[in-house]
Amino acid sequence: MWIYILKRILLFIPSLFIITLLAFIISIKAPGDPVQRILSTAESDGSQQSTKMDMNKEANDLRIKMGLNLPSFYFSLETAADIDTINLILENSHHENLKRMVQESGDQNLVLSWYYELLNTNKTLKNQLASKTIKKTPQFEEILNKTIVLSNELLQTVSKKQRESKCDSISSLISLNSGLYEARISWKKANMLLKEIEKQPNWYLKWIPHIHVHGLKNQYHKWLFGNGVDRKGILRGDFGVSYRDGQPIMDRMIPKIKWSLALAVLSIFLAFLISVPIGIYSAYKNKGWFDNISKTITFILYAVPSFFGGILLLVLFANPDMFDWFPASGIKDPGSFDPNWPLGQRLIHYLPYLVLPIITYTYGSMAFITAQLKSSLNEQLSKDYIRTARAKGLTEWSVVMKHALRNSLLPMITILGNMLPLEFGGSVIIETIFSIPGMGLEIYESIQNLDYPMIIAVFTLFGVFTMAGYLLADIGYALVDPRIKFNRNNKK
Amino acid sequence: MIKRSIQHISAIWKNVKRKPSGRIAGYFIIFIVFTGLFADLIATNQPLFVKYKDNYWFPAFSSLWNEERTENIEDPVTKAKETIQFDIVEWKKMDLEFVIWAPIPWAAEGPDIFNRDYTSPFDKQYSGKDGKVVDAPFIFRHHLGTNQRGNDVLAGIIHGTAISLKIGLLAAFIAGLIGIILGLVSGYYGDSELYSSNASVILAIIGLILGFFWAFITRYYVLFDAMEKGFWFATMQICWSIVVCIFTSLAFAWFGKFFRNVKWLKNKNPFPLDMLIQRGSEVFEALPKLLIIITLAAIFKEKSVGLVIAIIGLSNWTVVSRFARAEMLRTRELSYLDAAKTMGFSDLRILYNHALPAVLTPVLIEITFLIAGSIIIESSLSFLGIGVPDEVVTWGSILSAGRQQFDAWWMVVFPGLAIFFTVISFYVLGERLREVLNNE
Repeated sequence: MWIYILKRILLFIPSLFIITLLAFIISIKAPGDPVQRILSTAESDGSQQSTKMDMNKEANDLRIKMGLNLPSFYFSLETAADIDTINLILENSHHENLKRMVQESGDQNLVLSWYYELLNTNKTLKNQLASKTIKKTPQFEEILNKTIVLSNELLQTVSKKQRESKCDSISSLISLNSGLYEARISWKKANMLLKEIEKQPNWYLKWIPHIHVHGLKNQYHKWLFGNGVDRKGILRGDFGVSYRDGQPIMDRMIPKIKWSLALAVLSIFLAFLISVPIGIYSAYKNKGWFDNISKTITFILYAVPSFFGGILLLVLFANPDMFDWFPASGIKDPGSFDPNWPLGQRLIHYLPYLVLPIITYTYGSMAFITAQLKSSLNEQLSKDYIRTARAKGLTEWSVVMKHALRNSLLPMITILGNMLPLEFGGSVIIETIFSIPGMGLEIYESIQNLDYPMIIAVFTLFGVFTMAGYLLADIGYALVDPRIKFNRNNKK
Repeated sequence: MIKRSIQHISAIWKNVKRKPSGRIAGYFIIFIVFTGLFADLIATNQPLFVKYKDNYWFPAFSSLWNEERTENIEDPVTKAKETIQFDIVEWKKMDLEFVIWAPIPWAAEGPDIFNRDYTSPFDKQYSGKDGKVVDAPFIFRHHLGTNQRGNDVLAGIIHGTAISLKIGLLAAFIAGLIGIILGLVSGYYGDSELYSSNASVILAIIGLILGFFWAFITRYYVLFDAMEKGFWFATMQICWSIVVCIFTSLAFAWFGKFFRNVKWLKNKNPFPLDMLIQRGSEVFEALPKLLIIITLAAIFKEKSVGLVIAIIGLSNWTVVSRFARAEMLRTRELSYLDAAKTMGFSDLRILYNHALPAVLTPVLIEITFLIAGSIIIESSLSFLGIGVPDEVVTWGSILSAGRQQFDAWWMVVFPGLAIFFTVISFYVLGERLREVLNNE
């Protein structure tokens, strides 16, 4: 049995790894540039006012500080053509263009020198625009501006056709306007390089695999374990700061975890409390009237999705036109609530707000548990040892409650573990309907606001809780049931 | 085989019909499938048939393949020219000589300006005639009320049926396909049936890595561009990539038979296929799926129905594979499979011709429940406004709009009942199927 528990814990580790990996992939593939998001949050606070040049430098500093210039994983499987130093180029928007060009041509030196030549042109043009010694007519300034915009776009252009048309228009602008002579040399060079690139000298390289080993200096490792400076890594509970208000996520999270966990545990407890007697009686009187009614109700409750049930309850019992018995949303009355109240008084204050959500939480799981318990008790009641017990002359009470029930409660331990992810999944919907400030509402609001660090934090935490639930359920089962073997499917 | 399975299914259906519960559920499902299939003809603001200035048209039908059909006509009397684009023109305001309206003459997204701001099904409803506002005739009434913009709720529910069924059926199909293949293979070969030389295993692993490389990394930008183009492009490219990946691996494994000289390389060992698939699905099952679905659906920039189908389908295959494997293990012991083996049939033939039909029916029960589950997940997602595009009307989106306005009870109750009845009829059908097949 101890070997089983050990194996089970070993199986827990890859699941945990997959969860963190999934969260990490989501975090780096999330649309938008995190640096820009953080800077714009800071900007909107009014705490920072800066010029555009400063902004660029600031963005680059932040990028290095956040470790975004590092490779993303311990190793990477790439084509031999890929630029392995792509993350060193700090301008995020240029990456895709360069990667594509390198893949097509297979010669990263050519592409990089084209890129730097183009940057050079861009810089020369910008210097010309900024310098005050040269006199510029408004028309010339306009042309200069146009060229700069075009070359900026060229750096980000992905499709080949657009690239060609942009190149042509820049070429004609530069050759027609003698004022742009400074940029002429570097532009010519860049154009020549581009022609070389388009010949695709090493086209075959993209079919050759390359495995790069990056070692511990990568984004995932730092994300997990921290970078040793300001971040502690998610394994120690540091999920970074929220995009919305710049607050550390963990600080905001802890009261919300409390709400979600409390509601989940309370509703599971209530569901067991109600459905175990029903399940027992309907299994005992199998196919009797009570069983038929409970089966029908179970079926009906099962088919009502929690959002429909929740809203129906709200429309019925929190509606001034129908029965105005319970408050419609939230968990407290901001007018009269005082956070310094003792715990008991606070709980009494919360109670009316929680009745409807708890009913919504409970009814689905109640149906599930009743059906499961009934089928497992039925199976036990048809076994030989029950017949023996009856033949021995034991009372029905002790046959059912002492012999059969004890064995049929075993699978309930697994179900207890399975309930947790159901409750968490449901919490997103139920907390949204009733505006309960838990993790479910948090992830919903984060999705609405594209607050990715928050989404990832909630995702990871829920995932870890779920898997811990499974782990505990399986270990509990192993402790109780002496026949346990590792293979889950042999258990039945 | 297809003919045989149709015969089998019709035999099962005959048995299912014997009880009223199975009969009602079955007919109800057939009813909603037809509603979903013909949603564009049942609820549309274009007439089914119309006669206008000596022209005979079938606008609702012709819109099925050409949405923006445009007709240039000339008035026979005044010679005035007129351009009519079928999906834009307001048929209800036109002076039509003869018209047959659809049973519900409203589209899911076609505001009715006379009945805006949550018109109740029992309220007075209006419609315009010859520039005057009059009581709406029965055919133009909104039988289940309207929403804030004046969209008909019943039309929304009918179009939502199509979306829900599409997502439910296709997601269950994807889950079923993956689950049945993996379950069959892992049940049939087990841990000790599939022998392969060490050389083949090593080469297959190398081939898998190389195949993955050629399929997904070399083709990264091809796949990337296909995703932008649309769902079917993406699906085709991804399928092609998977084929490349598997084919490369198998081709490499085949080369293993040339390594006969080294003793260790040609040693044959049982390949623990079952164990690998089981462990894999256990890890997969431990992931919090609804949360993954919500997060993934939220993370993609473009909302699309195809994405929701793919996510729901991919997250549910373990259920099917567990059942298919258990059933395969039971079938493997039966003598007719042994007979097939002794006759020297290939594994593929045995699996497809002999094992699959036996496994398919029990798995069908699970798939029925899976459809119901997928429909619930889909409506939950669209209730939260995640996944399905905003302009697509679904049961969940109508319900979520009803949440803003409790007085509009019809926007909560009717879509909710649609979900409820659909889901419960799939449950009842599944339960009845289980009864029938256990008795067989």
